Amino acid sequence: MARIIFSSAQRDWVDGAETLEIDAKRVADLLNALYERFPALAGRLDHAAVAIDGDIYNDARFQPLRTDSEVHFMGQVAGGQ
Amino acid sequence: MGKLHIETQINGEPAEFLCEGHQSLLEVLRDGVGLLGTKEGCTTGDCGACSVMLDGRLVPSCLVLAAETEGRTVETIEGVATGDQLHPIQQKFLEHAALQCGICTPGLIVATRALLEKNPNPTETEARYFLAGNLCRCTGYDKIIRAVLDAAAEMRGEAG
Amino acid sequence: MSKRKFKYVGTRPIRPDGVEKVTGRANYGADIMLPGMLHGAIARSEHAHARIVRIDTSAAEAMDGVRAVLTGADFPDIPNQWMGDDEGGIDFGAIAQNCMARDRVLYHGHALAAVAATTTAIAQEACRRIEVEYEVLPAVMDLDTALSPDATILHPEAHVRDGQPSNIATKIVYEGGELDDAFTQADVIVEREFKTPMVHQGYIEPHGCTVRFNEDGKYTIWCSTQGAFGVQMFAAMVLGLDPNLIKCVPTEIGGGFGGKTTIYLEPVAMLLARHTGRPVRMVMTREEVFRASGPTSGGQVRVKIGAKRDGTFVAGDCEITLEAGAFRGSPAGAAAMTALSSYRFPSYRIQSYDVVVNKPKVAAYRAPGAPISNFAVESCIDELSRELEIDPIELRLQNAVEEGDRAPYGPVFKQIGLRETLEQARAHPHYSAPLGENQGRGIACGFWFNAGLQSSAIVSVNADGSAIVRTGNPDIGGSRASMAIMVAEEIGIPVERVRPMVGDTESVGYTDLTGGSRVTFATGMAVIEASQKVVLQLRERAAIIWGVEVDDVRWEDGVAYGLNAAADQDPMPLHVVAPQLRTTGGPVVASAQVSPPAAGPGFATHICDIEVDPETGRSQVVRYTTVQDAGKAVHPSYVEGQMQGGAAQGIGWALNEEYVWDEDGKVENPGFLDYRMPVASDLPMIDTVIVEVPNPIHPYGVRGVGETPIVPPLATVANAMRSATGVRFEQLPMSPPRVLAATDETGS
Repeated sequence: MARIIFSSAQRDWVDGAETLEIDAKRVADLLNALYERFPALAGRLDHAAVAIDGDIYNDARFQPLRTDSEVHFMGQVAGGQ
Repeated sequence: MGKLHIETQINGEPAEFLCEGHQSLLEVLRDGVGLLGTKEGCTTGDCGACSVMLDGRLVPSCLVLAAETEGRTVETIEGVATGDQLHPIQQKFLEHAALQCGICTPGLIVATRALLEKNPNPTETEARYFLAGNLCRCTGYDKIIRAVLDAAAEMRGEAG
Repeated sequence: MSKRKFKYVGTRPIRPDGVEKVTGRANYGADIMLPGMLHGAIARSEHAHARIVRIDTSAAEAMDGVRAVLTGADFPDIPNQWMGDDEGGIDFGAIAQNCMARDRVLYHGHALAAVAATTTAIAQEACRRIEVEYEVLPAVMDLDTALSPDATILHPEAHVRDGQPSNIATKIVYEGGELDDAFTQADVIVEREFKTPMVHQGYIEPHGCTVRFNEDGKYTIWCSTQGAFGVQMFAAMVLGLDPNLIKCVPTEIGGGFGGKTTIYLEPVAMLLARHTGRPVRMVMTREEVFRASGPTSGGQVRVKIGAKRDGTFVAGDCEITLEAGAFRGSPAGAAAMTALSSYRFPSYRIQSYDVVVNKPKVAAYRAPGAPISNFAVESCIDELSRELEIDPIELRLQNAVEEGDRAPYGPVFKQIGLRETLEQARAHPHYSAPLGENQGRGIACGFWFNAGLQSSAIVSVNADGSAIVRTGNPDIGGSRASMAIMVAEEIGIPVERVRPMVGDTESVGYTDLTGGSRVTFATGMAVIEASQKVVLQLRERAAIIWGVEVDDVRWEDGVAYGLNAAADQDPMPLHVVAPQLRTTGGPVVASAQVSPPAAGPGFATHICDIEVDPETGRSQVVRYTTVQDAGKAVHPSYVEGQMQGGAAQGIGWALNEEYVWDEDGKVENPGFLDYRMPVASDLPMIDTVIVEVPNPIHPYGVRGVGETPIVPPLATVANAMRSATGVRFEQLPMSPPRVLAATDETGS
């Protein structure tokens, strides 16, 4: 079960939940499950970067999840320099 | 109005070119004579990227009219190395990693050579003030000044 | 991995592209000259905000030497569509309109027409002869005006807030704990409001490109850029073209710092080249760079921090408002993500607003957004340390995040080195050196992520035992040297025997930009992986030569050693294997591709001593030390270079740099004389201390280092000024007139 921790802004879209546990092997499956459960959320996290156990992926769709992965949806990380 | 025919000396060799009266030496070096090593950063004489020597004097070529070089001598970055040997200043810039993007480097090397011709044993402060007309945005100047002082020591014949 | 003994990693070889750069032979964006080439120039808006009623190009077209004149009408209409989310994304319609205005100009200097002519002078004169009829609209020139209830709204359809059109393009919030409650528990509260100006990246090389259009419909773009694949994609989107028709060749780049990760001239030059059938070269003047290329946001930051008497932080509240310029896209997200993240705040709220104004569209600038929020937060922490009478380093150590702490933006930190940088700063002789008269000392901490993103690399071995490594990252700070070092380390050959090359969009696999502090980290991972595949192939060749299995061959330090069935074989160095590649299977070539996560942010602590002249208000940085966690320094000279260069930019931002606007919304200082960046005489030697807490996900432990150095200096210098003058400066830059006004006021 991956454990999603929602930011304060995201909670509005998931009926106020702070965390949710969802059975998913990959981020794509996690998103589908979320969108099914919360139709108003559909598509909104497609462009988000995803932090899986602390590592932030910009293109996370097919990243695998462990049985106890901690997941955050956040803004893309890039930069200047 | 026709173009002016200018005869001058660039990097020790006779050179001639046609130019308009209003054209800067920087423009003609790059677009006319094909010497692209001198760089344009601002065209207002504030950044030093276009530094060349005119009759042995350090000048911003963006503020010199090409026509003014008639009968005079011009030295650019292309004339700093001799034959197949880098100048000690160039070598020290490499050893000290005194360049990152490299765009200010030609102007800085020309200016450094002018500094060391005038003052073969500058202090750090003297070097910094002489080179204050050469902007660098990448390095913070630390490694540049180290390279300059090390080149000065080498050129004086001291151990680097 | 941190125990590995390196032979080449950590050494300081001369960079492979060095000779070209010290002799002036390297080609930058303005150096590509093609036969028959025309020169392009751009006509720009004279108003900060106006509707374009009519453009009359007839006088320009009539000039001798003019070959084409274009306006927005000649460009395809690309719809505005934000692709991304609140924290980041892109709108190609906005980029297209920024390259060439359509019906409206949104800042003074906004491009509205372009000319190609036989000389630059003719093209520029032709631009002056283009007549534009404007309907001038009210200009929104600062955040207060943009946010006022009766503000002129720049993009009423695009940004709606609480049911009303707004200049607030986006709002980002991070919250945790019980903020109000926590503040009531605090023994000490510091609350301040700060302002930072719009500043420019300040690269010495203006934007420049040369474009050729071929009769088969294909374009070749030579340009100074931080990412050729980015140029290819952006140009395709802006002109509605198949990207396959566009080849982008990156020239050497004379500084970027994030400002060359977008496009300005390229699509214009492309259309001019197509219309004229001749190659077209376009280079911005310095004035154009300031007026019309993307600076970073000016901002306002309100910070409130509460702490216990013993120094424990209990609450942090931060409100950040940043100028996006003419189109949505300020780094409000990153400013929010980094604002409070160096310290443990059990309760926190960070609100960040992206606000459009009639100024140039901002572009990325080295750790975008982070220096601005860091300036405010670290200044407040400095005030806290004074009120609590706790040493500023001790106070930070007490609250510093470490492995296992959770960041306000969500994830838990893995191994990080903030604590180590603070400890090394405290132990550094600078921190305990005596101060002279009119001198003060300040410290601050900061960090930036290192982006992962996509990279690919190709490594091949030649018959003489030398190697080539090909990547797609323009070399902005010496990265070729680091790529060569990594190949040398893996294969076991001297660094001088590795030739790194930077490819174009047709010669290397896709690579994301040079930026985000990612090249040594992410592209390095691809280079290392490709090199390891090469080593496997070399083992296979040695196995063939010895007539054994590959498992009977060990490769170390450039030499094949026999095991098991091959144990009695003499060691075979690469220069013996390489001539036999032909007979053992052909060339040895390997590629690798990576898309690693952003991991292992690099933290830093800076120390600054400043001396202020009470008569003139002029300040001189007399000593500066940077301590930064690089994970593993592949080429220490170039790591030090990043630390020193970023610090210098931050010092300039703190003390002198700012855009100055007149009442009509025109920049008054679009040149290096009055946009005052640090020169050699402004700075002392900048001491660097490299800390190495390995990044857990990189084979060598490398962390990106390029952006972190610009994050702490604004506050470091402001805290030093506080120490020197007794004045807490809440507005940057701390230029002499401001310092005099503030110190006269307080009588300091």
